[in-house]
Amino acid sequence: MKFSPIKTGSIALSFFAMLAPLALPVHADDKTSSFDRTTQMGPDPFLPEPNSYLIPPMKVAKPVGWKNGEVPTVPAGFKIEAIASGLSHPRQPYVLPNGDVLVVESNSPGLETVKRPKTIVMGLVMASAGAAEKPQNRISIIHDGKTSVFLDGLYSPFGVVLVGSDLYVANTDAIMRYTYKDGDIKITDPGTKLTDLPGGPIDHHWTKSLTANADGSKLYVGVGSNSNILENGIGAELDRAQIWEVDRASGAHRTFASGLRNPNGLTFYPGTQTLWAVINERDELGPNLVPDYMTSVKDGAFYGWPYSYYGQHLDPRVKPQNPELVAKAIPPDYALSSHVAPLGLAFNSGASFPEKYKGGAFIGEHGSWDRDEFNGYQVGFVAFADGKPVGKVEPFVTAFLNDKEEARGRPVGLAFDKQGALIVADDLGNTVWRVSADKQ
Amino acid sequence: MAQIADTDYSRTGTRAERAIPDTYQSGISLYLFSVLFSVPLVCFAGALFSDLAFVKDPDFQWSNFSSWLLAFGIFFLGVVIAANLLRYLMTMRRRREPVSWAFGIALVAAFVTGLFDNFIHSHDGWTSVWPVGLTLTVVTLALLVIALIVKIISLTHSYLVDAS
Repeated sequence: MKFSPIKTGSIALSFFAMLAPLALPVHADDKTSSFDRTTQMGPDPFLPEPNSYLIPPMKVAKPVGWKNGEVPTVPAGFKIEAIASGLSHPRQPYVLPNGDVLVVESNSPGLETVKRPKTIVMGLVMASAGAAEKPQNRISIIHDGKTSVFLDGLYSPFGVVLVGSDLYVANTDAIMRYTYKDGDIKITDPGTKLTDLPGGPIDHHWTKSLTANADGSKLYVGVGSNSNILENGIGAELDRAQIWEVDRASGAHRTFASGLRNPNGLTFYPGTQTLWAVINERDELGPNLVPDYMTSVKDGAFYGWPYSYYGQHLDPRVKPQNPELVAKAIPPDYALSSHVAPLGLAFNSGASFPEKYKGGAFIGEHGSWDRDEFNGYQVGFVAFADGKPVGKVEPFVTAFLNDKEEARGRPVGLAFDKQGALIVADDLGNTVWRVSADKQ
Repeated sequence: MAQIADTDYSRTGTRAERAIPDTYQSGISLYLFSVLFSVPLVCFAGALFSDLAFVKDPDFQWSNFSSWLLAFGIFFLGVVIAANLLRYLMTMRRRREPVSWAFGIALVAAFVTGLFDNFIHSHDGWTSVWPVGLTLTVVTLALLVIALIVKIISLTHSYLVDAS
């Protein structure tokens, strides 16, 4: 038996040749530089074939913060100012009836342990984007232009909603109720638990977005999945990737809608009974798959995760599949384009903005990390006609990335204040911005 | 004079090595080599079993087992390659047996397929193992076994040459 080096070498080379396609984008339409992102904005987005990369593209913006005097860019006719700065990861603004603004300062509970070598690598990448700093877990209040601590000792809070004199805060593992009186600028009440929410262990998607219906009888809470695509097992997903409807009187809950991988920005469309949310779709099927979306949430509907996306497009990574459930999956209303990471949603019901913005949706796009060209990192605007989104996503608040593609800030939650100005929480710039129409 | 010294060194190695008789020396190095080489062999063989278990019953924990085994396997395969390269460079002037290039190439090829296997296994879900992941595990393990067979053949050959 004899092994010739040339023969063995050519075998090795043929292995290279066999594997080469894995390292490169297989489909020409997936090259991000030439890809028209607007084809993935609207009710019927273009969906390329799922892509398998040898190493999935990752690109994280280096955090630099806002230097003296720097502010995000707004369209002509608007002005932007910081109404609070030096905060600790502000994620969600909430406007109280008297005009005071609550700001939820929070970060991941950090319960995810190392389960495989990838966890270590991903941890390093995310830490470089500033996502691993120690959280404050509190709510601050902006009252008369001054910022002070409103409520402390919370556990990775995100959603907050006031119903009458009951202030509800969604920690990552429970909804808490506090008594709020008009004019309060500090709450010392230890709070009462309304219901537990799926928290640890793992708690991969930990942000629990919260809102209430018009009569205040029900709360709606977004409970994100415990994985990207079931890599922690199906057992970790019990009661997750859903929007819960919680009875305010009893704390009992039922599944309002399911198959929503990571729902955030829960908001009722002004003057209607229609709940809307923005959803972070799955990663690692390619830079242009799967588009994140905004949708009205239908009672009892299934939106696909983990088995499928945009209706019946099966995810090849899920086995065993669930054809019965997939058959019921409905596509969402409006795609926002891929990996923009929408975390905030607010409808403009006021009259202070110009006519075209009336009734439209503003979306806080935290920004991409798993595509080689950045997407998101802006507050986008989608016009509405007859209560339905129309047209494409327009950039509204921009320049969160500087021209060297470093991150000065990243927008998260949004709200409209009493004067009809848009409040934007910026969790990397540690700032709360206020965008108002320039009346001059 | 100089010629004799040269011949001596090519026969017996450095001063330190001269203290240990020749046959024991190669015995020790062979033993250490086989201990080191067994690590990637065991890891990739283990990964093959957990990959097969995952394909039969796709419980995510099997793919986690594979990921760890592949990570340790590729690390120690790197150590094996580095050790062999070092040995090759250090014994360049005094080696008697012909260099086994097929062995080196099989090792490096196994490293490449093993590295790709690690990347594929870092994906999520079913397609992190089937079909490319499992295929790469099989190919890598096969290349390691080929490398082992090649090494044994070349050693047998050089002992036969020695004996004659």
